[in-house]
Amino acid sequence: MNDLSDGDDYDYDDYDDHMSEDGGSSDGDEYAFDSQGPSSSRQAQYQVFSEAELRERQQQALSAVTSVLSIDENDAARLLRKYKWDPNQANEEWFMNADSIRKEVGLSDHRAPPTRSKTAVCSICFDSHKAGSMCAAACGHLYCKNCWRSYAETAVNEGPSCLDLRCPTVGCGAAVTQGVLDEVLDKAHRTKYDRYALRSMVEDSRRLTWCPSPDCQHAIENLTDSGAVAIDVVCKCSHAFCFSCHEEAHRPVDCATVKRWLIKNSAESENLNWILAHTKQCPQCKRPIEKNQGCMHMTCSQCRHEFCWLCQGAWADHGERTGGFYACNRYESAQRAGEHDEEMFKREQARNALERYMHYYQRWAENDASRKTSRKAAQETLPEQLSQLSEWTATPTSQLNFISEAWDQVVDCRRILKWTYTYGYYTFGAVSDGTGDKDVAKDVLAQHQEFFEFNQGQAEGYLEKLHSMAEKNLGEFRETLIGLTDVTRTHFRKLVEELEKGLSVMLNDYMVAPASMEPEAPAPAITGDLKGEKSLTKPRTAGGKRTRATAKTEREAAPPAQARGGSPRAAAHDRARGQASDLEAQAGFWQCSSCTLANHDFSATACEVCETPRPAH
Amino acid sequence: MAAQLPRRILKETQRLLSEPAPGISASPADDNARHFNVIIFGPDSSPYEGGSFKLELFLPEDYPMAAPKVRFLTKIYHPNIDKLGRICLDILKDKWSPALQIRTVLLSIQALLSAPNPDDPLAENVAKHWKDNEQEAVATAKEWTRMYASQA
Ligand SMILES: [Zn+2]
Ligand SMILES: [Zn+2]
Ligand SMILES: [Zn+2]
Ligand SMILES: [Zn+2]
Ligand SMILES: [Zn+2]
Ligand SMILES: [Zn+2]
Ligand SMILES: [Zn+2]
Repeated sequence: MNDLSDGDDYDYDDYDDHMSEDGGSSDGDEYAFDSQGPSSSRQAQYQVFSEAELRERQQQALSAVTSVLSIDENDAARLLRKYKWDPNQANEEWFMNADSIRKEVGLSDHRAPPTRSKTAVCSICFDSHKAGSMCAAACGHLYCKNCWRSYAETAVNEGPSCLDLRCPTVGCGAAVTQGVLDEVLDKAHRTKYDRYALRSMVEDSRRLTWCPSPDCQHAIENLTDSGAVAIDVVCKCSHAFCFSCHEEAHRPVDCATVKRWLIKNSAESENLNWILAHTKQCPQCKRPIEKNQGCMHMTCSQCRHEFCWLCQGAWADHGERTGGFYACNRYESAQRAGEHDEEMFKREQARNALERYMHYYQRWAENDASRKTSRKAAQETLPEQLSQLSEWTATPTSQLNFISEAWDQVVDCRRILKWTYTYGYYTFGAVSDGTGDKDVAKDVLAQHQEFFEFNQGQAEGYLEKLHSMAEKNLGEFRETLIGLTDVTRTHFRKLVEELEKGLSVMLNDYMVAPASMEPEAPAPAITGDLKGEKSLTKPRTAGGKRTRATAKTEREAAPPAQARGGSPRAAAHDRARGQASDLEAQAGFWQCSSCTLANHDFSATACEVCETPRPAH
Repeated sequence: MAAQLPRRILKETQRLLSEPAPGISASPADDNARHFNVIIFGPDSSPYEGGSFKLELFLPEDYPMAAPKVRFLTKIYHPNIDKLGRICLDILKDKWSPALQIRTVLLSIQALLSAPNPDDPLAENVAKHWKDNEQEAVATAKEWTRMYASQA
């Protein structure tokens, strides 16, 4: 039994089975999850179809049926609609139950005896016509062409139900055939009819969906067999959305949580607007400030105070320079201890609940706003800047791709980061105010939270660096920017993957990994001056249930972990250091934490420009 | 002069007048050949027996591609007919076919009087009454027939 279960039902391990390199299908754009793709779409296999490609695909499906069964395309389309455009199923079912299916979709196979007489009365217009100038569906009920035309056009004008047009004879129900439609529909109506048919293919099949972006005509096919889990896809129009719920892409959070969160936000919007409107001022000079760039590093235009937009703390306290990691993602409950009467306690609780929600909402909203600004910058001002830069530096724009890539990464990561705050809000409620997941013991949850915030903070820290560099130094620090883009992407990819795996699994992995398995992270590497290190001795796990993770660590008596009291953050830190080194090795340089220069000398102990000591690792 | 009436409408009108369906009378208005004054007699052994119900029937421009519009003018207590006299009948909506005619529509309405269908209600409260206490609902229907649909 696993008492660390966090209730995550999704089996993401399944993903690996579908990540084969060859997608099988030939048309459309296949996203093959190479390491250059946006970090959030890497695990979904999908294809984007233009309208022309959809038609081709439709034709293939029709051919797959008409080549096996002796029916025309119009009838094949009816059959496919019944079986959600799955040709194999359509064919199989037909072989099993041809008669009842024929009846249901109106494909009668016995014809009415041909009229002997030379003329017949059309029972719609009541006129008599030459039998040769009338037509009929497979049932043989004759109507004149004019009446057929009005009948079919009226149906097409009424909407997609025209795809199931039947013989007008009361009680007949025979499907109107391709031949009749070809004979009577003019070009405009035929086009409309075909468009409905195409739409029905996308709307009926489980694996296809339209891009929800207004005016976009593309459809996405999901190639993963993933059921109802969140699947981030990016359309050719660049809109990133969840295949399952059509909201904006939101991994690592599941669809139900997103819905819940959005409903909560709209319910709280009045409170929020007031608070947000009244809390933004420079923490030093208290003058109102306006944020017009996307990065969270603020400089007050009045007093030049540098601070963090999120936590309002001095920027000097942020980042690796001070030996700490990025920490303004962390929620510390302001709850005061002490004697309260019942009424006071309730009020206090309500206040805390709102404050807690505010913390997460604000970060969610800030990252969302930042994502939008960045996206706008990347789409609108960047191309101009790039062509200027290309002119000034006599560099072909193709070689400046790394700048666009950095920006794409920023936009992508802002979105992921935003959703991790929703994740945090719903996952750790019990730690501070008793809401949220009550099935997990509070101390375990607190441990999870600490661990989550550590990882989120790491990723966020890199993103902030990348973002501010992309905003400031166009092209100046090519390698640094490329390196940072890579490192940030990796951090976010890991964050998404690990949150989806579940925190307990993630934490367990870190705790049990023996130090010897990490070539780049020798045990004594942790320096004492790391911000947050002090809190590691806080007995957050003491007194409660002993977690499996801690127990295991102790049993294995791995000295580095035990020496620091088995805190998950310490273990994670060891691990993260190792990862950072790996990343540096991959990138081919280590980055100065002060001036951000890419240093290529791995034996150096200090930055070659500013001489800031290289962080221990 | 009004647009020429399609031959189909002329023929239908002729036939309605020359061979009326039993219990149904329909004749075009003097000023508008697409507008019919209709009387349906309450079918025997239905709560509407003895009543004569006035309806109006209108053939829209795109008739017979579109269904005729029919409405009760006489008040009637029936789960598929609402206060405004509108009728819930499939062939007047999605089951309409141009191969149907005025005559078939009116016969269907007559049949609806014989067999009310409270499971597909238009008048919710009447339908509920019908389901909860059919005897009482039928009594009300008879009462209404006597009050509103008797030729005085
Ligand atoms: Zn005709
Ligand atoms: Zn037929
Ligand atoms: Zn799109
Ligand atoms: Zn979703
Ligand atoms: Zn200031
Ligand atoms: Zn901060
Ligand atoms: Zn430096």
